[in-house]
Amino acid sequence: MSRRTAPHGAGALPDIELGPQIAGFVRSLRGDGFDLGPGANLDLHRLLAAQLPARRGAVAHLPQVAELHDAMRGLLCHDHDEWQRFPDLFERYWLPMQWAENAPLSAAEKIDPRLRHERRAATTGFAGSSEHFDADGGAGSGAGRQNTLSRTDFGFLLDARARRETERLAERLARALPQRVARRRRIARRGRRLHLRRTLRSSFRSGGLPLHPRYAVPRLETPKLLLIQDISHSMARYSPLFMRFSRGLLRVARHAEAFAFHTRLYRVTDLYRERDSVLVKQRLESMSHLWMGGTRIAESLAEFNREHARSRLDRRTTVVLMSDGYDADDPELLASQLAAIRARAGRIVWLNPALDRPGVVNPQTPPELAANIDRLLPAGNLQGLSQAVDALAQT
Amino acid sequence: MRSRLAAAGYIAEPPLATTLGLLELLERPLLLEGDAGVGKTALAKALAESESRQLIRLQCYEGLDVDTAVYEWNYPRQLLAVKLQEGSDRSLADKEAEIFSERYLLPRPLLRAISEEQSPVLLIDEIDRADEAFEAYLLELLSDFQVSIPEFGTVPAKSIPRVILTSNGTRELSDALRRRCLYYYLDYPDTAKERAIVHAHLPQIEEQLIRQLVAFVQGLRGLDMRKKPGVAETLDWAAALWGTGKHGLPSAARMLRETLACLVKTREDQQQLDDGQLDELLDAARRA
Repeated sequence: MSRRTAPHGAGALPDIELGPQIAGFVRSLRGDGFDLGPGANLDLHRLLAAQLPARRGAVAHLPQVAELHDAMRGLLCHDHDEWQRFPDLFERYWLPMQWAENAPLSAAEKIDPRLRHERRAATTGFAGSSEHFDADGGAGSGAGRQNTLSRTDFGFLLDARARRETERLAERLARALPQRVARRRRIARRGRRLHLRRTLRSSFRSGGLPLHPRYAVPRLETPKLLLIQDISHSMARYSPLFMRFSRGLLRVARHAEAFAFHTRLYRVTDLYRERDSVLVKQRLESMSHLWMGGTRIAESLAEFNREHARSRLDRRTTVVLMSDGYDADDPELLASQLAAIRARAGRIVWLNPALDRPGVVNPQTPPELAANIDRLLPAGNLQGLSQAVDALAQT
Repeated sequence: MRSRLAAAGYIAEPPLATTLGLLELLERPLLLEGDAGVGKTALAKALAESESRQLIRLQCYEGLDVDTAVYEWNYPRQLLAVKLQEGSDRSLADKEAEIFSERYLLPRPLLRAISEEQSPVLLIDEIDRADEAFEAYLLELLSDFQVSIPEFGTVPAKSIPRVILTSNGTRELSDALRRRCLYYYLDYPDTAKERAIVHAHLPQIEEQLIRQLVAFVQGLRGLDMRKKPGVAETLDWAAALWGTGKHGLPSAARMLRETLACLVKTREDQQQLDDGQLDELLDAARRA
């Protein structure tokens, strides 16, 4: 077997006029949450130099744009969510006039034609700007925009694109749930602490000679989570946010389960694991549209305790309740059901989007409820969800 | 590219052909995602056939380890060599170098893929079924195209394989792996493409039957099913209908159920589909 140096390198960069626009596009995608390193720019330049040598500086003709779109989509997308959003982002950057004509209008733009005019004005000019609109209709990009979004209450976010972006960021936040070191160790080929029994066993194949030592190394694990999400009418504006947040948690936490309720309880683990978030949202909406009355938190938790608690809960489980707390049931019943959950589970974390709203006094939590809740956290915006992720990671 | 793939029996739309072009240009792996049965594995096979390359396949599963995927030492031969060299006057270092030489190395699919003189197509199938530890191990191979063997050294690639990874989404893949790959999401084919696929694989089937059965399958996919029929199921069903002497779709749902097992593969879906729904789909398909 021959040995040689690394077989491929970045190669020389071509001197092409599209350079600044490429860098702008990559920056714009980063602002939209795409995980792109410096290598993305290099790859795009290599691609343009090799694939489109005769088209330097000109991508105004549609067939060429389609080719560029397809190549960039394969190169810059890393998952299905990015794959679905890419065509819109591409059009917004490279064909801003076309995008301004076709893009769905936000609620504010529907009401005020001046906002529509401003959007067109801001996006005129070929690839001249990577700016896009903030929640309040103003321009912004990159970290500044994300900072604004992280503090904005999701219930008051009207712009459809800003809502989508916040939902996506909520899922990413959840996927960043830190792992912790488990008490049990796993067996590995390298390590510091010898695992004697495994080493003896693996020595059988070498006639008893310990040629294959085995080690016990620390094992990382995610907390065991049980998610219960309120999808009632009062939570309708927050449901997409918590749905994406729950999806993110389900992806990283191996032994997580998700339930949703309004006046009755549904198991939604499999639904949330569906790849297509639009489909999940539609099904969730159809579930909540069946009901147009009050919220039965206590009754739903009672159903959970009757049907699922025995098999789903143990002392290692953290129960995450996502609800604004508006309940048509008797508060005493709610307290007793929470106590029943608390008796089986490790702890209860309540994420409440109605807490810490600017200019609004927090509702008082009855002491009989507070006694059974380990953490009560505000979760109406990304900042709150970020704190929730930290809280969930703690033992 | 599209015509070469078509000759190998794979109908690829222009964006997919462009992405395959990038695979060659940038020498980066391609991560293909999509529901089961949309043609991810078939694409790798067709790519190998269209470019007359060897196809090396690694089927991933939970518990897949380096011994099975990359390399293993030939222990019986090594033990035999140790015994044979017991009386030899060679130095200990020489003996050790001999025992841990290429002669005693059993290459598994990944090592084989980078050891070929002519670059093969390496299909890492259903990577989401492998453990995260194995996925992490793959990172070195996919970024530098080299394998580190502690007793032997680093083995760089003789040629860069065309690497295709497929995933059905049973587990979320790491961002690090995704960053190293080109990405393509393979969706269910539209009507025209699916007709072309059936025609390419089963050219003996009459055009009218193809039109009707594809319309039926497309309609079926529109229903809320646990497991939607993929392209492989369409082809199976087409072959079943043709093999049983049918020149058109069955006239009633009751007769359709005889061959429905080719398309609907979970008990839940079979129970959920009532005769009324099937009759409606049949009517719509016959009008196609």
